[in-house]
Amino acid sequence: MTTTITSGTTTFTPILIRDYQSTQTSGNLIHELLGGEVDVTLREASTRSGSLQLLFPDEATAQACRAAHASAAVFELHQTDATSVEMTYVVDGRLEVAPDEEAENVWWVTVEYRELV
Amino acid sequence: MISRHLFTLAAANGASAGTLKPLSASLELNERYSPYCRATFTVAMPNDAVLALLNPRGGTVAGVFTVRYRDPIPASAVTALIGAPVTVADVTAYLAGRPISAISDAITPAWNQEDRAGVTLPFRLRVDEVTPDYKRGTVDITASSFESRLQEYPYPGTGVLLAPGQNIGFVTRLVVRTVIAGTEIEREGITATLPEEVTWAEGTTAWDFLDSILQPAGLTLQCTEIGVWRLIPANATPTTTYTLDRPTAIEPRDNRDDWADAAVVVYEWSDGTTTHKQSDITYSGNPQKIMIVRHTDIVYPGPGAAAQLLARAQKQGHDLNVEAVSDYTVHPGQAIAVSSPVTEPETARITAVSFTWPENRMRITTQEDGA
Repeated sequence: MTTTITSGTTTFTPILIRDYQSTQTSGNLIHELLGGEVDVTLREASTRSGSLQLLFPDEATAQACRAAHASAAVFELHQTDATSVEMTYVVDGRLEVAPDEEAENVWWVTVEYRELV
Repeated sequence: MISRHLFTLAAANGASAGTLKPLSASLELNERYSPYCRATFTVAMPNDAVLALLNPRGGTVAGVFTVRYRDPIPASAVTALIGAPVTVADVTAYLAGRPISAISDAITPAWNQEDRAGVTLPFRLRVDEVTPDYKRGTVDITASSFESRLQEYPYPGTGVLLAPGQNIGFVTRLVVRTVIAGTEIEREGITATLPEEVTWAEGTTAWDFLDSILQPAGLTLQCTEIGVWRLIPANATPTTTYTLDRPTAIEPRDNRDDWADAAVVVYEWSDGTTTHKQSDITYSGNPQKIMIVRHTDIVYPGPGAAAQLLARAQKQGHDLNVEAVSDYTVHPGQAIAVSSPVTEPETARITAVSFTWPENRMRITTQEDGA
């Protein structure tokens, strides 16, 4: 399973992704009518949002990944096994970097993202 | 009822045009207000070239509200039904002997038991104000129909004298064309003539001058949301009725705010040496509440304006505002029949409707029936 994150000519290859999750919010509008019924106007749900935890083998690569995500840029996530998680995204929210609590010299980068379509 | 509402918006200035990304929109049609159509939009910040098109000194915005009550027919659905590759001959052979409704039913999912055709509301408006917000990355736009061209045109010459007996429709076209060359005005059936000699005086705007002759004749000049000028009887009897049986809100209110049983229109003008004053007064019985309108710098055009004002004012006092999911067939001048499980049925005349997007709600303002 290979994960790559690219932005322009920059590519990062984390060892693994942990705690991947995505959330979408319905766009449908429910109109409450007098008398209890509803009318509905249909709209697409929002694009996916959530967070990615990316594991890097050393501090320098993790910090480079964090710095790249801190710049004004669009990213692409590629995943050879779980292709459904592939997406184009931007950072939307927190961007964290921290050493692993147990393993030495292994660093986590956590990115809160919003998918672009 | 299940529906889907779409909205597109573009900016134009001269021969240039650019697409806008709308975030919200509100568009009102109001037969009691000039301009007839007023709108506000918030759009995502466009590039500098498109932003420049929105300059109120020449900029226009055009758009379309669309509502659908079933999915559009995708080409892939037709291909799936008939078989690929689809040629014109294939389609012809398939359609032979079948009603179109059977075909559309076969390939599009109906959202509602009662099938309805989709509706569009296209518009083109003059940009009045543009406010970019660089922090939010948005632009607020206000726009309206083209009556403002007449409202912003004070007569620059020494005055135009118009003889009595001239057709008011013809006079209206003459005035509008003085401001906007080549304008056509829908004015079928307008036979009213000028009762007295009138003067379009220096400094009086085209709109104020027209108002002074149209109001006594019971006429209204409108520029519609798509830029069609029309001269119509004010408070014409509705010819169509909109049935609203799925309201989200009904707000009746009785009051004396705009009601009156007497009307006075006062005209004050100067001929260069003397100031003149003349009033037009109408009332019924022993009046309780008098409405007074003053026109300065407008020559007395003869009686009639007070009677028109009174006819309208006597219908005021019972407000009925209703809300529902937007239906872009609604427009001022229609009758409306409102019913709901919790209120008595009521009929009224639509005087204004305001559509909001992406809320997809409309708010309808009415006045008492029979006007």
